[in-house]
Amino acid sequence: MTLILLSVAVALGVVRAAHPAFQPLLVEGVHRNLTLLAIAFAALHVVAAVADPYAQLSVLDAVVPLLSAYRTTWMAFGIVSGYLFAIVLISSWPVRRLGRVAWQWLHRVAYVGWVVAVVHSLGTGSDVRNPVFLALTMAAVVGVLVTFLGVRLAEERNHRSLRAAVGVVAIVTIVVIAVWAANGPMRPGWARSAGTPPGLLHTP
Amino acid sequence: MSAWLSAEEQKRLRRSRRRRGDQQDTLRRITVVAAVAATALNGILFAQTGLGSVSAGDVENTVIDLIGAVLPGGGSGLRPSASPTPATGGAPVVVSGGS
Repeated sequence: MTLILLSVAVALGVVRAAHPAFQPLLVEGVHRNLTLLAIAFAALHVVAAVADPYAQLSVLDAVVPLLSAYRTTWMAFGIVSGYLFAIVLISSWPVRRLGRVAWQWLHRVAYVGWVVAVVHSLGTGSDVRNPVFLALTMAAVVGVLVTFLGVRLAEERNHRSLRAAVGVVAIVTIVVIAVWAANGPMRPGWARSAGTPPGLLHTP
Repeated sequence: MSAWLSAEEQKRLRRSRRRRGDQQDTLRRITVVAAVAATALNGILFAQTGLGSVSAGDVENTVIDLIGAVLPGGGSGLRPSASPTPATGGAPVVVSGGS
């Protein structure tokens, strides 16, 4: 759910950046409120993960990347994503004293954080093959990609070659994630290769 | 002239304030709807994942435990025995292998 909320918030941020004059109060307000809602869901997600006895995660495992024994790499993606969004949140605090350009560059970290969050949800999620989860994730990814390419890049008048390069990087990133998901998390046996401790695996 | 401008200015200010108020109302409504929808969807996904990992035997045992908790001794007779029921000595029934 956190990923869905983050995706809508990122898409609204893209719209806000491309059309600053379009309903500024409403678009910025929904963008901000959905981001705060996503942060609340993320906090709930971390608390639930630590409280769940199945994965046997400690608080330290949930805040320090590469420390947990449970799906170490894919958990680390989630923790790193959390820190990247923390940078975005802190730099956007109402009393920020950053310059506009510095704030914009820090805010763009959200794109990286979002991609890292997608990889985390596919790599760690035990419900990747659940059709509802898969449909929601695909809708979120396609929604953000289409908004980014169709609104942000199409509206930018200058830097044609830079726009093309950014567009290609965005498409290639999503295609790489899709190919990896189809050959990894969607395949049987992912739980073992993702690094689930042997004691937690169901043996037939 | 300045009085006319001032009236026009005031009208524009009022309209702008009303529009701002309307947008804030819409923002509040969208936020509440998003929060409720996200919570409901999260609950559905959680229940779906939870139910997917629960076997029929787990559900049966939970129901029996609940009955046992409400009616002491009531659930014990419902729990199926782990060992097979001994034969009662009747004639065996052939289910396969006929010539």
